Amino acid sequence: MEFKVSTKTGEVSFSIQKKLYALELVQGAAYVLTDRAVDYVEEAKGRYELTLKAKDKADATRERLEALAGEFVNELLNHALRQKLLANNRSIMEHIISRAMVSARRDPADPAQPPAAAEQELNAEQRAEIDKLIAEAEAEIAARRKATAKPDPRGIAKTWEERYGKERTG
Amino acid sequence: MAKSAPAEDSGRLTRYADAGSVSLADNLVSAAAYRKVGERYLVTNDIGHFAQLEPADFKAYLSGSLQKGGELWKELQGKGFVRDHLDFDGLAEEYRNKNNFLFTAAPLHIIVTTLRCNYRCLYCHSSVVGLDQVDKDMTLETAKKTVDFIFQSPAPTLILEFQGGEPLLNWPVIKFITRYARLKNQAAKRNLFVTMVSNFSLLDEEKYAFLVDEKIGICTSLDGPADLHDKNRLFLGGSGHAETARWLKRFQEQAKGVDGKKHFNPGALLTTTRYTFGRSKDIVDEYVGLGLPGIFLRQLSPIGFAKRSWGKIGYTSQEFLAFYRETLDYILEINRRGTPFFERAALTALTKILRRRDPGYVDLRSPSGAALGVMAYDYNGDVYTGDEARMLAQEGDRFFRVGHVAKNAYNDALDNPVTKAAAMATLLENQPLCSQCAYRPYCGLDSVYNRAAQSSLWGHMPTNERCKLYMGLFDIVFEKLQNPRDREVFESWTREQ
Repeated sequence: MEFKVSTKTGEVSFSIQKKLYALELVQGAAYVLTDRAVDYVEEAKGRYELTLKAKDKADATRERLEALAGEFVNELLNHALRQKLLANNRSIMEHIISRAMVSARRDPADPAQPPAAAEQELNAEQRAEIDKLIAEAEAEIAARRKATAKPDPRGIAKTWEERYGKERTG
Repeated sequence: MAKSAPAEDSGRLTRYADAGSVSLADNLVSAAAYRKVGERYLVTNDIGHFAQLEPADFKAYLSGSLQKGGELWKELQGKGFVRDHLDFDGLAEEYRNKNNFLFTAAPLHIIVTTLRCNYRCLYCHSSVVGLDQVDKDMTLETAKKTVDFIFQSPAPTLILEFQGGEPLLNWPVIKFITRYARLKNQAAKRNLFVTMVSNFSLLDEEKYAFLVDEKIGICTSLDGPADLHDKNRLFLGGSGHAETARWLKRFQEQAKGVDGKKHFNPGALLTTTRYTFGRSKDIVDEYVGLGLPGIFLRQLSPIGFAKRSWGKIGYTSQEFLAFYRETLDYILEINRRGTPFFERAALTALTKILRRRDPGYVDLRSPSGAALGVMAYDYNGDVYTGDEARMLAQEGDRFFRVGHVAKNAYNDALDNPVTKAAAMATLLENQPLCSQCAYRPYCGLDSVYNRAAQSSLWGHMPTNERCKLYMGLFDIVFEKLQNPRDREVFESWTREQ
């Protein structure tokens, strides 16, 4: 395979035969290198024209650009192998997503789902108990608000701003 | 034992040198992914099974020349790697067990009872507010509606987790939610658990008694010995470490059954900052000394105060992995010396790898647990796809808000396009790099991280630091699984769960 290197622009160009690799594989291999290079893929008759432009100027040497192109070719071979190894997962993916979504929803028609215990599903005794809980909590909150005016010897009720005079960030 | 290359130097997808020349035996090789770990090839499949093969065996497996009926062939066949010899019923059952989160609604519901806090942690992800801002407390009305909203979830198990701010600053609402939820559960009949994440600084005897009586699980932050803890976690009242340690010991004692009341073991987690590096031994010794069963070495997220102070306390994934490896080595050493003690991130991975069970960690599954495994409720009733999503909103990005407890029904949050988009973006089969990764059966993406760090729900894995970090973490775990002594320790951790 012939690599055309330009150290001036930090690019290496080469072509991949279409009959050997699908566009999906070329794009997949290019994606893996996007941490180090900007990848350009163009379609020509019977081939794909690839240009990899190094992101880091330190990689714009002939040796490193050729190594980058070599890495791309190795990645392409691995991508093809991995693709073959893995089953086409699209139908599995759709099934998994729909399964997850359906399972997470409340379905009133599903007798297997536990009750939501909405207000009307509680008995009079339970509703009275809730009213009592609310009244107790309201009284406690009111008492606490009053108590915040009390001395604070350890200073834990003081704000950061009061203590250190810096601007509040929240 | 082959010595592995440092995990932090490994590529995202490692390459097989003979990829171009090997002739794949289609009828013998089942769907699998591979990765070079040390000198061996790791192969994994969707069920979560794995095998670590010598290069010659890997080539023989791919080309179908493994001796049929031989020891290795039997191992691979039993694990679902040999296509013409698959036990469909058994593997389907295993898949279901491994992915049981797909078959139920969100069990975890995080309730932010207040945004106020009396700490100013350097890495606070929650962007807390000062103690005077009582308008940032959840009201009783919102608390009641939050519980009603949560019980609309059809999940058979519900976990209500109080967070903040410092949740104890709104104590009456904690008491109310706990009692109201218990009462409601008499009719709703769920497995109901209540937990709280607190810094303990406002704990007193009355609150302690309530937490024990109501069996509220407790978790706190412990960043190591006093000097390190107090440096990371600034407490307005002085040193926070002493109080944290005192109450941890108290809960430890209670877990043994004081006064006939047996409480849960308290949990503690460590948030790693730059100051943590080099302190592995001190930190683990501190945890062991307090009688804690394990530690969670948690990395920073680029959210909240942590994002703003990243230059001071942040680090690269490589730096974190070097610290992680050093700490894990020490933990394995003390296990071999006879002290059982686990590391939570490794244990989470190992539960998936060795037991093929979901450990319930919503940040590491596919699709992510956003709204499907967890929901978070802000003090004002806003509903988010998770706690980090809620934290991002504190920073002004309300993208992951999917409803309000007073205005929406539970299903509205699930029908929200953001919920669906987050699920699609975090399904590993949908990601160009993840779909071919050998760690796919065990890994997971976080769309909140991706948005915060890379301005995209999908993220860009070749430059994604979280991906790099988990890839390194899995490399370390699989490398250690090649060592029988380390594997023995790992096996003991997963047996005890």
